[in-house]
Amino acid sequence: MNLSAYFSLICQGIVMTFAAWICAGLFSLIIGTLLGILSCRRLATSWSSVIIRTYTFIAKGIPAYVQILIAYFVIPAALGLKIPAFLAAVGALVFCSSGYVTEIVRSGINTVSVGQWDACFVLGYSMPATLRRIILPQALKNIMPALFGEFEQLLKTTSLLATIGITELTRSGMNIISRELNPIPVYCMVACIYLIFSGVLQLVMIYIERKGLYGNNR
Amino acid sequence: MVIIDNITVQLQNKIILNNVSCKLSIGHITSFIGLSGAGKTTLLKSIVGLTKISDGSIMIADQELLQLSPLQRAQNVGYVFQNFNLFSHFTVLQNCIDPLLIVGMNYHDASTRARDILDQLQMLDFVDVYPSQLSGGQQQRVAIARSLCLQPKILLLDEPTASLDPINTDILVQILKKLAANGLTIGVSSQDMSFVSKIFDKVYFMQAGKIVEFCDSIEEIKNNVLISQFIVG
Repeated sequence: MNLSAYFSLICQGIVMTFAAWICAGLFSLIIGTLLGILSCRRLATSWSSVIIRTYTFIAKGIPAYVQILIAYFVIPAALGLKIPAFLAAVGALVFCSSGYVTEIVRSGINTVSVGQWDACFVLGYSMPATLRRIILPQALKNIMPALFGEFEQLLKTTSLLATIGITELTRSGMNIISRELNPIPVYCMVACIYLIFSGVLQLVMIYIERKGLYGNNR
Repeated sequence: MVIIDNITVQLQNKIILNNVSCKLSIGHITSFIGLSGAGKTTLLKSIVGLTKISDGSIMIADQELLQLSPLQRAQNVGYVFQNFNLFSHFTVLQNCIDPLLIVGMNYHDASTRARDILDQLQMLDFVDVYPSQLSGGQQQRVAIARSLCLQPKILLLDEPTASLDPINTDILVQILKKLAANGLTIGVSSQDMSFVSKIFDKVYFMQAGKIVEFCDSIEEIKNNVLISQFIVG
C-alpha cells in the first residue's frame, strides 16, 4: 500500500486537527482563566462560587464524546438551528476543556500566599494590577505543567470529532482504510503522527521549564 | 499623625479590638506591646485598612482612612509585614520599583528613587538578587525600602524582630531611629522586650483587645506596672 498517494488527505486531516485544537485551546484558556480567577478563594463570592462549581462539575462529569454529540445533535434540534459541525465540535471541546482549565487556574491562584494579596493591597495596587503583575505570574509556575497536560489531552480528544463527520486526522485515516481495506499501516501512521505532536508539545514544555520563561521564582 | 478614636474590630462575632483609642505622633516611634492575641497586629492592620473596623474612626494626616483611595492610602501609610511578603518573582530592585510604576512614575525616576533608598538601607549590593536568596534581616530591609519608596508619612512594622538575630535587630533599631529623626511617624507591634527597650519612645500596652497602659518616658516606666514588667521582666 502506498500511503504517499494519500498525502493531501492526511495533510487535510492534520490541518483540521490543528484548527480544532488551536480554536478550542485558545477559547478554553481564556474562559478557564477568567472563571479560575473569579472562583479563587480571594475573589469568589458565594454566588459565583456555586455557579462556577456547577459548571465545572457538568463540564468534567460528562464525557467529551457525549458533549460533542449533544452539541451536534441535541442543541441544534432543541433550538431549531443548523450549527456547522466544526462549530459544534469546537464549542463542545471548549465547554469540556474550560472546566478543567478553570480548576487548574483556580488551584494555581490559591497556592499563592495570602500575604502577596495583602502586600498588593497595602502598596495600593488595583485588583487588575494585583492579578496581572503579582498573582498570575506566580501562579503560572505552578499551573504550567497541568495546563500543558490539559492541552495535550485536548489534542487527543480532537480525534472524537471523527464521529460527527469532521475530516480531522483520525477521520482521514478511516477514509483511507475504507478505500484500501488495510487498517494496520494506516492506524500505525495516525498513532505516530499523534505521538509526534505530543512529543513536540512536551519538548516545548521542557524548554519553557528549563528557560524559566513563565516566572523567575527562586 | 494617626489618631485612632474608639475603634472596635469584630471578626466572626468575636471582639478583637474593643474601643481602642491612641495616637501615633510625627517623628516618634510608637510601640504596641503585649502578649500574643492582645490585638497588636489587628490594630496595625486596621490602620492600613487590611482589617475593617466595626466602629470608631481612624484619621490619617487629617483625613478619614475610609475616604482615602487605595493609592492615597499607600502613599500615606507604609506597612512592613511580619513575614515581609516580598514579591518572590521580582528581584530586590523590581520589588521596590513596581509599586512606583503602579502610581504612574516612569521607570528611570522609579529606579533612581529605589536605588537611593536601598543605598540608605545598605542593600544596594543586592539589587539583582531574589528575595529567597537573602537573609531574614536583609529581606526586612528590602520590605522597609519597598514601603519607603512610596514616601509614606507613616510606617507601620508588625513584629519586626520576629525573625532577626541580635545584630540585625540593632541595625533595625538604628534605621528606625534615623527615620523617626527625619520626621517619619512610626508604629511598631512587638513582644520583644529587648527591642522595645532600645526604641522606647511612646509605648502602649495591650491586653485582650484593649489598651490598658501608656507610657511616653522611660523615666516614668515605674508608674506603669504592666509596661515595666514587660520591659524589665
